[in-house]
Amino acid sequence: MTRRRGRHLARVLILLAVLVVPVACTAVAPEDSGPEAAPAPEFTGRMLLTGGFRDPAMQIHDLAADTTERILLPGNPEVVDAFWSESGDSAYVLAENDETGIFLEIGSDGRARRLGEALPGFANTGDLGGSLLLATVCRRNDPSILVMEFGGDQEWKKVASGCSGALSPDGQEVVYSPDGRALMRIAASGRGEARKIADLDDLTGVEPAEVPQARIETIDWDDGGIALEVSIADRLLAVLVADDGSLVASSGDPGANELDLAWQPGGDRLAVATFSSAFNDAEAVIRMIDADQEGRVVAIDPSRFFNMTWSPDGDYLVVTTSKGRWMFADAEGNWLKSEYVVPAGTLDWAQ
Amino acid sequence: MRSLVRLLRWPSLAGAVFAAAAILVCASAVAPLFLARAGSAVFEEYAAGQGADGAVTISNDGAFAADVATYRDRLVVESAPDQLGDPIRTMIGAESFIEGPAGGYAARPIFRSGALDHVEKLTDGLERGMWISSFLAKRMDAEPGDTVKLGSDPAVDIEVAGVYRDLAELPRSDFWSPLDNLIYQRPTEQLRPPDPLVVDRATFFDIENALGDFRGESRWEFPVDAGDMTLSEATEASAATSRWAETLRDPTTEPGSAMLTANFVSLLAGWADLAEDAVTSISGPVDMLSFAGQAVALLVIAGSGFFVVGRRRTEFMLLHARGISPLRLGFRAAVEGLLPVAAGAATGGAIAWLWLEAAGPDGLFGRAVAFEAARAGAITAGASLVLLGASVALAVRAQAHEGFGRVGRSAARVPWELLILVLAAASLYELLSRGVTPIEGTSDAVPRMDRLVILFPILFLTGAAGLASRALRRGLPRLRAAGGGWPPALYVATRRLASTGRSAAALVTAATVAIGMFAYSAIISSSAEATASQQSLLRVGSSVAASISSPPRVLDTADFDNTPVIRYTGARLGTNATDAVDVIAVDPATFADAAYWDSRFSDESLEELMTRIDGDAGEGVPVVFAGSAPEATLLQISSYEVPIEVVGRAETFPGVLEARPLVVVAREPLTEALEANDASLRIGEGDFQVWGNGTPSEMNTALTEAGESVHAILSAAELRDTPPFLALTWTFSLLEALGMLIGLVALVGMFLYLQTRQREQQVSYALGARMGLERRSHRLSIGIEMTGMLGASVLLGLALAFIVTVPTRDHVQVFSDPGSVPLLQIPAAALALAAGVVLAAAWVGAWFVQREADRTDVAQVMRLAR
Repeated sequence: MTRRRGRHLARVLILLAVLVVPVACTAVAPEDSGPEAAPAPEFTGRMLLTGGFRDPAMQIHDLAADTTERILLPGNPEVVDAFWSESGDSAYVLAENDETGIFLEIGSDGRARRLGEALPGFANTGDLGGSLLLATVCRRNDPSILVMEFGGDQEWKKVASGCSGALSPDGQEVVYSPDGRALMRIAASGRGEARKIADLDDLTGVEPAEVPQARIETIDWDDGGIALEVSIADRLLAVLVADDGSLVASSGDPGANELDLAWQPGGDRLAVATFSSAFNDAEAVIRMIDADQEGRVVAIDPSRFFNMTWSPDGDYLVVTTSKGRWMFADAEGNWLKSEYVVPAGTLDWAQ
Repeated sequence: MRSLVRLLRWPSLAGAVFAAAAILVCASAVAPLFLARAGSAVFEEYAAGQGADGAVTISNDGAFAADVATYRDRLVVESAPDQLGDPIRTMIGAESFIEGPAGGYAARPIFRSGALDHVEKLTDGLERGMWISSFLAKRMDAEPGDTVKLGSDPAVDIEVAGVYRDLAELPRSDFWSPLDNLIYQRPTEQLRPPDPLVVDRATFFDIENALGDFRGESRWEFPVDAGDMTLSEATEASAATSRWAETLRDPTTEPGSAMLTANFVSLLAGWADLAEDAVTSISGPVDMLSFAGQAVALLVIAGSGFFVVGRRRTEFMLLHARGISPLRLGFRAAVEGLLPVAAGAATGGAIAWLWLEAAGPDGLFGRAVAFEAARAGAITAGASLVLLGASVALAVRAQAHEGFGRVGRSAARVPWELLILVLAAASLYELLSRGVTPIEGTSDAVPRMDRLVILFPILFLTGAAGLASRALRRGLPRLRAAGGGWPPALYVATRRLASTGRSAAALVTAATVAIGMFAYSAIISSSAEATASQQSLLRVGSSVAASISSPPRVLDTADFDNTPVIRYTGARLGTNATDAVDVIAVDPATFADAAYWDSRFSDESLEELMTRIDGDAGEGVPVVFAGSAPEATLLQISSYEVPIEVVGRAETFPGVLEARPLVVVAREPLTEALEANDASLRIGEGDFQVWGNGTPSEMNTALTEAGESVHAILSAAELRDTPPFLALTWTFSLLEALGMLIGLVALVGMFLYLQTRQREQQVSYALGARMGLERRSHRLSIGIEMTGMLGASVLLGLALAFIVTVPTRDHVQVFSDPGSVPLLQIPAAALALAAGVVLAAAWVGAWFVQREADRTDVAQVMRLAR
């Protein structure tokens, strides 16, 4: 009996097979798949920042805890720049108060105290190298590059004339431009002869007709080398200074009217952010330039970028925008993630 | 194993089961396959009509640095759904002046992937570099190898790589259509736009950087392979595209950050929605058609069970007498039916498949739909076996006179025809009270058909046919009293008809329903097609209409009838009227020959109406009102007032749009009235047209030869090819096909009846033969008998189909466009052919019975009869 049932079943299966023949002739639905990107790492550390245009107060944001602590600065000055000390225990703040520049130190207890005397005018950049602080005071009649040893007498000393300068990573030397064209190098003590290391006359990577118009705006010196923010007419571009003194324009979109440079700590990569706001469709472009001076676009953003900084180990770059978004990328220039945190102007990252 | 093939010994019975199973599976499997294919085909039609190559377009204004463009391109392409193909990339530079030895013109560099494959190259040249148009080459007197200057300050010297034929000289192509505004001169502009400099990507950036043009538009046009997509795949592609759009709008994603300000246009969602709407609009009737086919087929299966027992009565009674229960006999019959049902199911599936391939929508369906169809077919095939077994069991019980108890006897007395007719009445009430819009429908552009349009006829035909055959059974015995002096064949035939039994009544009922459904489907299909055709002709006005830029005139050189028409929209009747009307100013001398007309549109002929508007009406301009225009003596066109006098009315009129009232006026009197207002025919939104009964290409040729600038050409045939109407057309094809399949039931039933009848009438024939009944007379008597029954079915089926068409036709939305007059078209030839086939089958059946009777061993029959 079982055997007979089995035979019937076979016929039924044949019937079903006949009925499903059309199935074999139909299109196969495409599979919607693709390799999922690896999740972005969880970032830790403390960010020294200001709240941007609307909230210039000094703040420290804890990345892991996602909390922000406000730091009260004496006299309530307007923060121009801020950076952590090498150990990360304290921070230095360049601020403006009554049209003069002042440096403040934020200790490990979170309290701020004034550092040295007020600068003889408003300073638009500050730098830290070794045990020295550098400030550029760009007065028309006396453009000065000033240096102060914050562990010593805390007095500002003029080491050179010019509107742009930077300290070497070890704080032993200062690089500056006396006239916006030549690039000079001098001991941080101000002693000895200044020597010319490069000149914009030798600039390559731009149209020859543009070379005479080039002007050095800011200088950034770190382990990777010296990078310049150069203006040509109404645009800004990044220029790398080679060891032999040659200058190569590496990045700078036509129309870029804001530019920021950030060297990778302990590395040779330079992050360059440009912002073009010539038209309503403004946009920022973040690029990563490697040792071979090859650039790679990391991100494009229609928001105005505020600032960018590297993680202390040089593994990650973070760029903040006016909308409060923070974009993280790795050292190769790969986008990792973007998320809303807090608006952040001045920015520095410590563990 | 022997059980499996036993039924094959009775080919008619096996054939009936086979045919019923084929109809059953075909009807059940065809619905999901049809709907899926229709959806896919409608999607493809929309895509083909609106440009599948640009299903998704993203355009972005941004930086033109090469690395930024590359980065953006990578993000866009990598984040795009898999369903989209490789995009056409376009980058549009800024306008500059280009100058050669002899002059120059404004130009703009354009990079468009594959551009050089879509131009007519007039010279050889490298793929790299800058290609200029023949217009520019002539203007600058430049040729390949020459260096020309682009821009002024800054400027760049570029070598000409090649020359292509000016795109404005060639017919517009799909490839260049997204850049129409950059290529072709607009009618309102004095100059042609800056000429496209077709460049490769590297040259584009070289030029842009040299010119300092650092911002411009980048564009990606993603194609979709609509011809290779099922509707579900299209819907999924649409959903994936929507998710993609969300990603591109999310600034916390890498592509979103880079493309946040981009303009994203996807046509996929619209196409998929419209295709789903089209499927929804036809799914009701298609499901009902499928149901109707299955119901009829199951009835045949059930009837086959009774016929099986009738044909093999001795065998079944013997087995029953030996103690085998009716249930076991039923199970045995189901096993016997397995092979014919399986073969029928396979054949039904194949018929469904072949019909869809041959006449169904040209779309695809996915695996899920195929499984659904196979599952539906398998379930109904299984159900048919159960039904076969059950009907055999019941028949055995009935033959054994065991009865069905009190409940069974009560149930047998219930007049089921009346119950069905009550349901039919309820359906009719719902149909009439609901109006045209179906319950599940919304008022959109997709024509819909109410499922009650199918359900009501099924119920009505079944109930009415049952009642009619019941009446015949009661009336036929009176035939015994008549025909005493008739020829033997007629005499025998009438006696048989008079003593006809339940099986004959069942045959008449089944055949009436089958023929009625076939006739109904044929009438509805041909009427709908005729009405849809009428709608498109009314909307266009004639076979083809062209819009031109100047006041139209008769095209004397054209070899088809044509007439000039000026259409004004947004006109108003009376001084304070708010209802908009359309006005057409026509040429009475040529209008009647060129415009579409049906005598049902008006009590007056078109010629008469034209004569009236061409005459002098006294105070006002003579006009004809079409549609629901109120009485008025004043017509406002733009701000000009024209006194009018209504000289005729029509229910509808050529040129009527969206059921808006139409005022028809002769051109000459209107011109005079406007001149009295210091105005001319060029007022307001006047649309200058020429209507004709030629083809679009003939119209285009005639207008071009006449020196007219053609804006657009619309034909009635094109209108009938719009996807919603196509979906409806396919549905009517299905209705016809299933109607035909159901009509076949009449033939299957006839052969079943004959098979049984032949068995039952063996003794009668043997006796008749011994009494001198000739073979010819016997055959003739069977033919007359079958003709009588099937003829009655044909007449009854056709009559009921006509009756049922009257209340339902107005409820097929395609008939109910207020701008058209519903047409009732009876496909007389098809119906006559069907009736002829059925009646011819009656005589074939008679021949078959006679052949069987001739083989009968009369002596043995007589011995068994004793």
